[in-house]
Amino acid sequence: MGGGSGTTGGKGNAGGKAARAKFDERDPTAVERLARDRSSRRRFVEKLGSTAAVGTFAMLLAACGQDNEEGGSAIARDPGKGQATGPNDADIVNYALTLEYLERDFYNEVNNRGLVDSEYASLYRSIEANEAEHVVILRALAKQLATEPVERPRVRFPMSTPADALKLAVSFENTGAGAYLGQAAFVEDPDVLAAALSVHTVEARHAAALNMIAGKSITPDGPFAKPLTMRTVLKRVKPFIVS
Amino acid sequence: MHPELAGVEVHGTTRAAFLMRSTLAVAGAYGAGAVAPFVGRAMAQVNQGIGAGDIEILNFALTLEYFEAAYYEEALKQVKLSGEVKPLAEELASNEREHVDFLSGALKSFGKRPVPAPKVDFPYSGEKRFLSIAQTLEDTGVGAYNGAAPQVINKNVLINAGRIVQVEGRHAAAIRMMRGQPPTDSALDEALTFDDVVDRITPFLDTLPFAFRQPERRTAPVR
Repeated sequence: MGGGSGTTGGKGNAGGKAARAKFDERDPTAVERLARDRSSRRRFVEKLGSTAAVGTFAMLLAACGQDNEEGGSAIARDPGKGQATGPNDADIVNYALTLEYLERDFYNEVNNRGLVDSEYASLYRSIEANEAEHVVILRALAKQLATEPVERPRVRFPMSTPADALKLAVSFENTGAGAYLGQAAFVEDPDVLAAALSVHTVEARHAAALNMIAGKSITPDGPFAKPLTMRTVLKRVKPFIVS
Repeated sequence: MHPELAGVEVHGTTRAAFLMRSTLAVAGAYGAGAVAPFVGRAMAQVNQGIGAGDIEILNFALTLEYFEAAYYEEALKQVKLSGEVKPLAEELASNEREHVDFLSGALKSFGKRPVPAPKVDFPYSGEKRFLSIAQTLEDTGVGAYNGAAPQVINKNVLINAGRIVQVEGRHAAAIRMMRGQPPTDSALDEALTFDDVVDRITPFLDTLPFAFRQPERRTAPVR
């Protein structure tokens, strides 16, 4: 009882090779889990033909330039403001995929260049493995939504020390968590929402772990995390995207 | 059952018996009228963007937050915590209390009476055990919100549940880091059903305020 799904044991801080090996094993599992999720196939089939591909980051930026920030804590406030024509689920999945590509390639470069203090090397490798798995999951989701997954952006990270890399990692993870949160209410399909939320809290976990290492608050927004709009997020990551 | 909880005293034999007993306990304390709406919940939903399912989820979340807040508040009184752990426990206690206040306020704003706090019984010993149970509670909290979210109908309920679950995920990671564990065991967090959640917290409960019923997944966009 109680969620054997997903957990693969608590000793994830193994060395790099072990982390990669574990990732390779788990990779198809996560996708299969999504694929066999109840009733998702029927819903996805219904969506066939309703979505268009987003090709490049520039197009994504254009498609996702809406400002759907939801702030405040007035839970019973009138809903639905500011989202007349927002992105559809496929847009949101491709938006998330772009962020995951960026994160994955970032950690890959950090780990390959050794821009990490040795005590955190296994943590960084496990985060890279998580981000790589998120890429696989989101690509699969895009395909299930009958959409071509967005292309991987070409990225460039100005960093030369572990401190530089940590600063960027903190920024990417906190931004990533806010990005997922910012879209949660706009996802139409509950299956896509379930997947997005399961990724969202993993980004939050990464963010807190890195914030701790960087000597920052684990909850920079206090008891209630702040959603970020696509516009804000894309503005933040734009400097690292070449094309 | 989570391995961490094995060996901890369980009050009750089966979950069904447990739920029935706690339901009756509420009926005793508050009158049958307090229980009936939950046990025999009508399928009809309030036609204002907030459904019976959302109320159920808010009350369930409130119960978990009461539970977590009590855990940290009691630990701060009963357990000798190190200079590293104590500030974290204080921050978590404060966050969980804010979640309690927020969810109670939300229910009242919808004209609903929030469920009372559950009676809890935590087997505190030392800091090590404190952190271990905290990890179980926070990971369970994350799974609980993630599992309930696809059933939420009201947009603002969903957004605010998201704002809370992100903080629960951050708590879970911080506790795990304190224990020398990775912040997550998986690239995807679990989505737990109400039943999963109740099973995991049952060892620490004397009574649950009412018998929760898992709402159906929504079939239309949030509104």
